[in-house]
Amino acid sequence: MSVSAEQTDGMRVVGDMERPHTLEQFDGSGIRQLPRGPDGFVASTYEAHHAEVYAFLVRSTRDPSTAEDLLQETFLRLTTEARAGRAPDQVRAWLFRVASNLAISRARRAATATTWMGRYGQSEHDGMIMDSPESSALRRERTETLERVLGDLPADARVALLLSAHGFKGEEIAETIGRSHGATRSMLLRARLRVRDELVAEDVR
Amino acid sequence: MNGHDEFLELVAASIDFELTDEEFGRLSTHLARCPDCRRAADEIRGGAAAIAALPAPVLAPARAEQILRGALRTPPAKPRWGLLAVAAMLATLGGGILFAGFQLVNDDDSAPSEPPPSLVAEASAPPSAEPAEESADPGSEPTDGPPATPNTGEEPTPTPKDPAEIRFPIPSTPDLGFVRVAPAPDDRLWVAFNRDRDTVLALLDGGGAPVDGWPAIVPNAGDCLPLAAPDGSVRLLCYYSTEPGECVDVCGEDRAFAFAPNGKQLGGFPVSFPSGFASGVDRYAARMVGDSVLLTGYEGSDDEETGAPNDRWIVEVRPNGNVVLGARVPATQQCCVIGPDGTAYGTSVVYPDDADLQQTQVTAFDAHGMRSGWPIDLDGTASPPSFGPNGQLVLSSWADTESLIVRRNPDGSEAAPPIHVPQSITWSPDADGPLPPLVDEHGRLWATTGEEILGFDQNGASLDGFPYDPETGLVTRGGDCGEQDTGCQSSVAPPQLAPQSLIYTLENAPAGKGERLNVVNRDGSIRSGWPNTLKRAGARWESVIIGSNRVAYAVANEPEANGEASVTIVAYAPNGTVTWKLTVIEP
Repeated sequence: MSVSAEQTDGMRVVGDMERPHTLEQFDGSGIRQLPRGPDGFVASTYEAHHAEVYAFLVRSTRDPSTAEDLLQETFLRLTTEARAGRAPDQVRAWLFRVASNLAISRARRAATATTWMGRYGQSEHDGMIMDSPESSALRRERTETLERVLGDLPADARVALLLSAHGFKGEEIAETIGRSHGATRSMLLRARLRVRDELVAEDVR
Repeated sequence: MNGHDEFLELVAASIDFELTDEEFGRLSTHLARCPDCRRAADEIRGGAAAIAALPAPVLAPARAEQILRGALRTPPAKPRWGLLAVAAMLATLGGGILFAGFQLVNDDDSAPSEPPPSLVAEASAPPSAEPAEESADPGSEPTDGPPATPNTGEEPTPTPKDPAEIRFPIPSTPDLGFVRVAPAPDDRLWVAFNRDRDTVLALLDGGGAPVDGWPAIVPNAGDCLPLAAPDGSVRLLCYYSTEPGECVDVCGEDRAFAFAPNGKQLGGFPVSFPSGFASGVDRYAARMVGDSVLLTGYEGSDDEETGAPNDRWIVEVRPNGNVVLGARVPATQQCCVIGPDGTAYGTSVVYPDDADLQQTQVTAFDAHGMRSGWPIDLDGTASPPSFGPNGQLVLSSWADTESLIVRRNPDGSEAAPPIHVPQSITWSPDADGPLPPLVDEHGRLWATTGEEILGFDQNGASLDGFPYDPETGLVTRGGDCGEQDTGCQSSVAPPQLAPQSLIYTLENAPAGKGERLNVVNRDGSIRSGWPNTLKRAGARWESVIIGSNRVAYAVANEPEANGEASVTIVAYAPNGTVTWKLTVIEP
């Protein structure tokens, strides 16, 4: 993920902040062609990325209902930006950055909230969906162990591990969760050693 | 520490970060010499791979569509091509049209587009000029609902919009009060009802069609009470099963949910109530006061030996999901009704030594504790209060051989002398006392006695045109008690007071037909366009609630073949015109 000096709050600012580009300027400028206007851009981005962002949010928040809320919030922010003529440059990275921040801040706020509830949709898939037809008992056990370990980690460490699993490199993860290189590195390696310890312990059992 | 930790850390770091050449060299050299570290390195990398290989949770397509629609619904209003883009997007998600994937059938071939043919309200009289009394009402609204086609015949008036239908096959016959409605701003209506182990919540627009994003299912929530908030959102108070399925002990708790009109759950919700009194939260005392829900909590005494008193308190659920507990007060036997100012009133029957009659102690408390001036003692067995002008409390009481209507100020002092009611006021179906009176903003009062509705002015004089004596009698429902059970009373469906002092009554079925809903003018006459009678024998009106828009939302339950039933909401303008109909539960 390239990082430019203009980045503000995870958003690459296109053009002059004081005078944001209008849609017409966008379409005519050649800077970015938004397919079918900002809402079309959001819709096509959603189509391309909502599944992985949702999966990431479910793992990060450990609750499908919260994940749905945050998924909507993430794309709501994208809509706001796109309509204001500020479509993010690296939209996938942008989505994960917003989603990560939402998940971490939600986890901090929700120390109180243990009662997040599913809404429509949950009745079709109680809690976490383990859509894994071939899953053996062993694999299920390993999945459960992993979920437990992930759940026991602090929210930012969990998010960092999951970002890594979604293909982001260390520098991008640091950027996304707003920590220094060193802090992110030591947090990640601590988390990885802990995951390993738990998986080994499970194998012993 | 075994001296190898440094290398394991390098292994872990190498997954996410590029090692320096120096680090890389050191690690490679060490791993080549240390089989244990090689195995540990594999385990660490295996952990990373396992996380990446975790099965991906999948979002149901219909829900994915809802979320996209929600994300695109921010102001400013989206341009038309935005809508087209959404439509195209929805198609690509494979969910089909709105609500696909959800068991809502709207304009679908599989569902008849007509409402159930039996649900035909018949008007007893053609509309005529409204009674002079109405037109003389200063400041009253000039019109009586839409200038719709007269509702004269056996067939229903065509509704302005096609009735949308939500069809949910459910196995059991709904009980009384199964479908609960709450009129919302902008002619909207919140509807909640059970479906299997879940609750269906929907926001309907002024034509009875679900608003985008609705209906939704609130899983494992049952017996829910919707309360409309002034900002258009809703609070849903439910019993939530924490252990769905087999459960023998404590199986759930009370929870408050909150949803915006767009279907999104409000931040901070749902909330459960502090453990210890969760199952004692009185959802049915709940009332929106401002933008908070107030209800009363209850804690039973664990100490049977000392008989320590039980406690009640006000519970406030704020719009951000914070739950605030008020001060504790001693519990009352009957609790509670919450007034418009957030004061809760409960009653207890007491037997003073120095009095021949039993008395009722009426307690008033708010979040700060007991209100000064309270409790007060009233002769006889008193009802919960109704609320009149200037915060006046109006109660019915049955004392020895007569009934009384008692009026008190908010500080407990007497507001006006008691009104002596010549007949016994009917016992309430859900409280151990008489039905509370109806009272309008001018202080006029109505009391239900047996088969009649009596009317009084502020001075206790009988209102012209009253008593109102319904042709077929007010609807009474028997309890589920056998012939030998002498302690089982039938109950009267209480009449409802609507704006402009109209009284809506549920009345018994004429021979061979279903029950009727009637409207009584302030002069005691039956309003033109009414009553509306259900056609099918055995069909009954479950409830009627009148919104501030003067639309009456009546819930009808009709027997169907095979012993099943359907439930339909009918929205009536004050002139008896059907504004819309919605069958929410199909047999």
